[in-house]
Amino acid sequence: MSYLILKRKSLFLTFYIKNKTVTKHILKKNIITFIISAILLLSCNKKDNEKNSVNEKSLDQTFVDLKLKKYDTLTRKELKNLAYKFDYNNKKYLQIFEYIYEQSDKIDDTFGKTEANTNLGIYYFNKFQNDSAYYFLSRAEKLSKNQKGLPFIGSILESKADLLWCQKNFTEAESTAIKALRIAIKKKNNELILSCYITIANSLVGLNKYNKALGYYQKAKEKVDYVNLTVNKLAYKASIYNYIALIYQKQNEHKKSLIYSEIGLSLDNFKKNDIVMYSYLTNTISYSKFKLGDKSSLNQFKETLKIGDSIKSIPILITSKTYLGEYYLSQKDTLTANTYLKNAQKLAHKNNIFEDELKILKLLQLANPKRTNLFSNRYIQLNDSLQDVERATRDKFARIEFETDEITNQKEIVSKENNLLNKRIWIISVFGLLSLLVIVLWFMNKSQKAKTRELLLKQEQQKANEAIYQLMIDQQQQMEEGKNIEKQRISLELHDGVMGKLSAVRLNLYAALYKENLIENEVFTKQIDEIQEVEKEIRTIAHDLNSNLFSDNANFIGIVKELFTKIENHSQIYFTIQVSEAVNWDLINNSIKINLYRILQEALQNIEKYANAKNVFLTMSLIENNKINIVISDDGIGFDINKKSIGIGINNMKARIVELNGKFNIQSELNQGTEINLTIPF
Amino acid sequence: MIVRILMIDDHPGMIEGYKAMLSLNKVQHNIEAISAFNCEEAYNLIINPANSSAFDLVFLDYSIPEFPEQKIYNGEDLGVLIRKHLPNTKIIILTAHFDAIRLYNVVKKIQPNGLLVKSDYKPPHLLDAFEKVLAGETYYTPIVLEKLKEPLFTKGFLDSLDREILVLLAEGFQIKTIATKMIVSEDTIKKRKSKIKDLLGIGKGSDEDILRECRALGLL
Repeated sequence: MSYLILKRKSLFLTFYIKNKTVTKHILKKNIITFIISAILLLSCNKKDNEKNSVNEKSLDQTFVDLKLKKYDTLTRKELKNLAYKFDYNNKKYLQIFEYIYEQSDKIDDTFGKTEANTNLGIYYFNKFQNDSAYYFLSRAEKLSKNQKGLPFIGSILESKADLLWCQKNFTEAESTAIKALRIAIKKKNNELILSCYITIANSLVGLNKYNKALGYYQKAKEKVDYVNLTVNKLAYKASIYNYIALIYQKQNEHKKSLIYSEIGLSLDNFKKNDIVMYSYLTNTISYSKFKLGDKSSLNQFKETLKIGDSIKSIPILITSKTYLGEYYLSQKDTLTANTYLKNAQKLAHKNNIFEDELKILKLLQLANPKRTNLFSNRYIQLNDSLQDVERATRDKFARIEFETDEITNQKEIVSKENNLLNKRIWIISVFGLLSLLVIVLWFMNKSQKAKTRELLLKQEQQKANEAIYQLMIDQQQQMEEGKNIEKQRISLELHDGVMGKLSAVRLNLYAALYKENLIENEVFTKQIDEIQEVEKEIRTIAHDLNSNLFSDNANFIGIVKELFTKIENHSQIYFTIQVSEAVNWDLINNSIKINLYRILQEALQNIEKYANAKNVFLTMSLIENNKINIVISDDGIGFDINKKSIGIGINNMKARIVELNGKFNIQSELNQGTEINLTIPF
Repeated sequence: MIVRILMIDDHPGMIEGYKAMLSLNKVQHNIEAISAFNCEEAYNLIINPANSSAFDLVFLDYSIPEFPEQKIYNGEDLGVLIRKHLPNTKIIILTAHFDAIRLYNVVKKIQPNGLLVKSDYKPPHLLDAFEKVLAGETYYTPIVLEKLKEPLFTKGFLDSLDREILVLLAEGFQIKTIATKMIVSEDTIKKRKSKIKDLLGIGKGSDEDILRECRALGLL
């Protein structure tokens, strides 16, 4: 017996796209189930596709255009809407969501990834590629669980439940569908609730929990009225009645079965509007009637067999033939029964509808009591292999789930590692920057300190220079004072002592000569006058000595002259010093003076040691009102200034001039003497 | 006639010379000389009331050892003392100094009857001076007469105080000491000094500048 599963996957889709007018019936085919309306709906869709084919080209173009746009969440929405405009089993639908997944992965948009995976899962589910569907749905589920609000989780779980049901894993199908139901109720999504009810009920049927299954079918039946379905709501409802009827049939409550199936059939004029639904319901009704002993069922079975033949619906053919076989079996017409049943078995076997085949094999055992072993062996063989297949499928699903986990885990590990790496890189860069900053600050601080220290040193040096100058001046003054004191003493001695004594001598001599009458003798008087001249001379000397007391050598020029005099005293060099009176040395900083003094000292030392000069000229003059120009020239042997090994002396001079922001120029040629020209601002 | 003379000079040889010279006087005066070799000896002789009319004449040297206890530093101070205690005694100053200020000061303060610059006169002139002074005349040697014509003094630009300050400065004393010696305040000395500088046209010069300028002018 075949199940009719009318699943509306589009229920989920309407959840995403409100404006979508064409709801798509998704028909499930699998080893043991066949969805008859598929053919019908497929043909409907074909018509739709033809209508839409004009539209499709422009949609393709839109996809190309969107691909060129920068991918972000806005683009994603546009792409998604575009995908829904395509037919659910159109390749473009797949391509768009594959593109969405790829791009979302690039920009790490988990929501986009989840959405893409969900839709890819549904796509493959509709394509009956259960492995792929299961893979994408598992992935979608994992992604969803890592996000706030668990997007799409209801739909994901519901689809997964459907898949599990298809694999006859009813226990898990039920529990998964219940999970989905909880979410659907929480989100008040009626379409999803309805879908869940049916999946749960189907699973319960599989688990032989018929009463519970009935409960869910009842709920589903009631819910249908609250669901917005634009097409064939009645057929949907009728299918639910059919489910219920089939359950009662299984429980041998054929009266109840008959009632429900008849209600189902009465919902609409299905013979006209939905021939497939009509056939199913008619078969159910007829079977119940047959079980209740109504012989009119035969014609009904034959009618559905005809319909099945005309629309080439294998499930209807199998069902009708099986029922016919069972009917003839009950009439002890084993030959006819065998014909129908063998036919049905072949059909079922050919089309891999093994569950039906099993049932047929059981009937065949009854129809051929002599060949029971043959059919029971085949039954056992088939049943075993079916169980193997189921087990293998379950294992495969488990593997897919595991692999998805692993892939996710690996991805997580990789992303964790990446995060860790990123963190490390961050930490390293931050530390690097910090240490760089610290080093830079340290260096700045150090250089600042060095600068300050340099400045302090310079100040100290300047102070030292001034102190030296002051010392020199003091010394000079002391020397001058000593000289002056000595001069004064000599002056006084000459004036008061020597001169007085000479005067006394002169007077006494005159008196003595006078007494001896020798005063007329010119020889004597002349000598006396001579003594007086000596006195006058001494007087002048004494006066001059006193006058020159403060001729004031205690200044810079005095010190400089002293420097020259010292060398002059012990060498054969003759110095000529010209100092412009325009230079007011008192206005010039002592530090400058001491440096200038040292430079002159250096220059003179060089001249004395190496120049072999006879004459040295020093001129100091004022230029530009704020600079002193100093020229020291000699007539010595000179030297080659291009020689690299300029002595320390000249370098010292240069360094001092640099210190004073001055200019230093030295000119010399062999045997042409040397001239040093300095300009110092003050 | 006996002429009593107080001879004040730190050189005994000089005093001997005076005596020898005076013995040659043409009017045959008998010379009776008493010697003093420093300010103190001279001071004691002068202020002694018994000597109030003991001397007809004083031969007074300018530079002689001082007697600071009685603020007698030189011949000039002694001259003032003589004029006070020995009003009838005639004074002949014999000095080796020939700077205008001292000569002028001496003349102003003491109005000596004779003023001779030692190296400036020939021995017979001493006799001339002696005789003229005794006869009530004055005798100044030519250099003195010349120095006294100095306009800075004659026109009253540098008064006695200024001149004294200059003399003391020239002797190397500081303002404080000068003030003490002259018995005036230090401020007075400072004011006088700046006045002197203005007069000499040396604006902000130092003491040395004052002295240098004065020497150049022959004042010192």
